[in-house]
Amino acid sequence: MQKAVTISELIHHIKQCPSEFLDMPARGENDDGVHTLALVNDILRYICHCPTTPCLLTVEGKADKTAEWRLWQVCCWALSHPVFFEAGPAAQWIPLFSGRLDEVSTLVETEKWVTDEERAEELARILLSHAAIIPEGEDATIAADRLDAIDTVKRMKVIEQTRQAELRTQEIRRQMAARAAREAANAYGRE
Amino acid sequence: MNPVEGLTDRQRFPLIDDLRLLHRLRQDESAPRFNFASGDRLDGAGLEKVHEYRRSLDTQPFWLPGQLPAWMTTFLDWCQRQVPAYRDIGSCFQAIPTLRRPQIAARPWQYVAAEARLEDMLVFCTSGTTEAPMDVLADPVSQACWLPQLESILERDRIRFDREGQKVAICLVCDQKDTLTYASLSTWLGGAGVLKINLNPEEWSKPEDRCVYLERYNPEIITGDPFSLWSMARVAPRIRPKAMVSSAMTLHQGARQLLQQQFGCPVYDIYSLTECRMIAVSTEPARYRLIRPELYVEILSPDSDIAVPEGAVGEITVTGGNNPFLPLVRYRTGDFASLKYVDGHPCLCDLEGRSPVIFLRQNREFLNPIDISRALSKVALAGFTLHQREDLSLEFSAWGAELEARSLETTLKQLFGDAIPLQMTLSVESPPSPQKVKYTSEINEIEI
Repeated sequence: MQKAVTISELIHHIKQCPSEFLDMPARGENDDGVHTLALVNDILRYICHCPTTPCLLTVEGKADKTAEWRLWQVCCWALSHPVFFEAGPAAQWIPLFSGRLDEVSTLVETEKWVTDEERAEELARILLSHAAIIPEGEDATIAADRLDAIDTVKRMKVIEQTRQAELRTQEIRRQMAARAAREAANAYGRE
Repeated sequence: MNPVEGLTDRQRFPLIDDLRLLHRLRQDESAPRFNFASGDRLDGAGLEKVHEYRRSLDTQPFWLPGQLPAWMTTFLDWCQRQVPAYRDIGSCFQAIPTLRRPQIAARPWQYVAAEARLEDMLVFCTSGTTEAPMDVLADPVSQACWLPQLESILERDRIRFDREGQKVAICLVCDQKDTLTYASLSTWLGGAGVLKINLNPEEWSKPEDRCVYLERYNPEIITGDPFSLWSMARVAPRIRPKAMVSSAMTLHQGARQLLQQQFGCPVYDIYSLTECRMIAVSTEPARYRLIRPELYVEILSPDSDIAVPEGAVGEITVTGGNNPFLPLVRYRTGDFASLKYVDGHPCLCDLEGRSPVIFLRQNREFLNPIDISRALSKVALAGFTLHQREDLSLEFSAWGAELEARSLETTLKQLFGDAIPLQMTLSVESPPSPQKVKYTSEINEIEI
């Protein structure tokens, strides 16, 4: 049976994240940093009660994944909350790590996920949504609306659109003042 | 901001190699003192679009009574995707709030489509005869489409441009204290000449040059507002235009007959707006036939965004057009008429509020209201009303902050004459009427 959790409870849990989860990822076998992939695979085995599951997550692509890996580490802490125990097969979590978390990791300073109330809520809701768990006291629509309202990707898109619109406005106003635009409008005069 | 010259002739006419006519028109010994230069800036792609537009005028059907045009859904979808001001208009046409001129005047950039190329932008500042001046943005294609619109009107009467490079196709006639004047060419009309002249004798070396110049180039089509066309009738050049086109104000039947008799050609009265150019044409009193299937016209109640019953008078409201810098969605024109379908074709009837308001100077010469608006625009007025009584005396009411009675009086006396009686009322608060500028006169055409 699905366990119940209020959103504030999970936010509180995320904000209690031990500082070790925010340490820099290890750069090699002998580095003192966090071995992120090992951590992720361990937490997935742990919450799915499948200690013998083979390594699920590997990394390809760009060399510097510091931001992505540090957010993965924070997620590992978040997923240690009991609400996620047995919330589905381990493999279901893989697209989250390689997809949505990757997308937002570079848009938000990692520490904010555990210090900023809204970012902690966003992370909580991303994880709950991925596990198809509805926070206690909400229904599916409210939960989806709330996540939508604080979605970093959407927020950044709006900011970018606003910035582009402002640039366009400035350019139109500059062109309106340009000599060429002022002259040519009188071609053929006005009927 | 006033227009300024900013292009070379090559930039003005990218597709016209032979500029001899242009030079001849400018350098003619009888030419007026042209004070401006202008060109259509049509390149190959632009010219092709004008051709497409011309074909669409012949082939695109008008909407049926009680129905929206077939293109409306696509157009609204395009507006939502392209135009910042229309992003949230939704797809239910009747639910879209109407748009008024001050909204566009305040933020013209919000109405520019994302796909519009800013290097193509043209800016036209309206004279603001009856409202505050406004910058209207356009591109060379939508600007040039005035000519196909005109051709579609003329061709119904089998009138066609010769499209010859060494002829003057169109002469825009003005009669104002001052206005922009220039000689130009039309790429669409095969390099034929386009003139804009001011009949004010001060613009010419000799007053008789007005006739000499017009007779020498004998323009195929003469256009102008009724004041200017009357003035031309008084100047009386011996020219035989193929047609005359009156716009800006209603051309009354008496004036139409006078012009037809004197110049021996049909006279068309066009209903047009700076914001979207031509809308309808009248060849008979009180009925204007819509000419553009891509410009939907509805008649709305002045108080709500609801259409009045067919045949009832309401505010003319337009949607569509082909200007990517100002696509219009439910734009209230400020003009009132009824819409009737005559043989299935939409026509505007009972068009109100466009009667020429005749002002006379102390010496009983015409004074174009445009000149009054121009002169008063230099004074910071929020709005004004001007009424001329039969005895030529004036009643002037203005409102705005920090009005200077002396400066306003000087301006009006310079326009009308020092001895004209003037009664002036100034106030800070504006009256409840939404109209910022209102002209009325007890003088009519018949008296003149």
